[in-house]
Amino acid sequence: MNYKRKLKWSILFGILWIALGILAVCCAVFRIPSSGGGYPFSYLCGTGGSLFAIGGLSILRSLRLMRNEELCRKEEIRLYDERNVYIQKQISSLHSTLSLALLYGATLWAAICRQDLLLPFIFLMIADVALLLVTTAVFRMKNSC
Amino acid sequence: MKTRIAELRKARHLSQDQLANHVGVTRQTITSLEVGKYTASLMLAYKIAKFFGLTIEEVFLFEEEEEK
Repeated sequence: MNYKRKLKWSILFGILWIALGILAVCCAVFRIPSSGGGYPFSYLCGTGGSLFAIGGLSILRSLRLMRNEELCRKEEIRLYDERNVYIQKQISSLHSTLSLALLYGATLWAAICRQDLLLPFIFLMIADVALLLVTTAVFRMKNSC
Repeated sequence: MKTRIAELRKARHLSQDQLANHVGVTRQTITSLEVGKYTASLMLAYKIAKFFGLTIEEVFLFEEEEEK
């Protein structure tokens, strides 16, 4: 995707996050939806504020890059630089593996503490292996001659 | 992989930043290529060789031992 077009999409998403943020804060202020028990006022306000900030910063950053050609070009090079992409892929790969290991560890611990969670844990493991086989098959087929 | 990028760049009085700008990569990538810590893709190798007006083999020194 052309980088300038990517920046435009970034601005659109920024507007979306701001709108969602305002919506969350309004829901909190006007207590919509009303529910019994503890109302998540602070949670909604916090989430709304964060979305607003993220959207605002995203828009400001994109506009700054669109106005400055030199900066835009440098940022585009940095984003698509093959070495940076290579390093990022290594990071994502290792992070995914470690996250999965942590998830397994936590789920196993839960299953040991509560016997009724053992069956879902086994299903999770089977589903993960099946997912690995499916994605391997799909990408092998996609990349075959 | 060893390269002659540093030698060729200095011969043309170019900084790493200038070379990086010309071929569309970051300065860190040029540094990594020069010290042999990173192996360029075919596209990047072609761009660098074309920039220097040489063939890929004249810029990138492939040694058979590296394959193992």
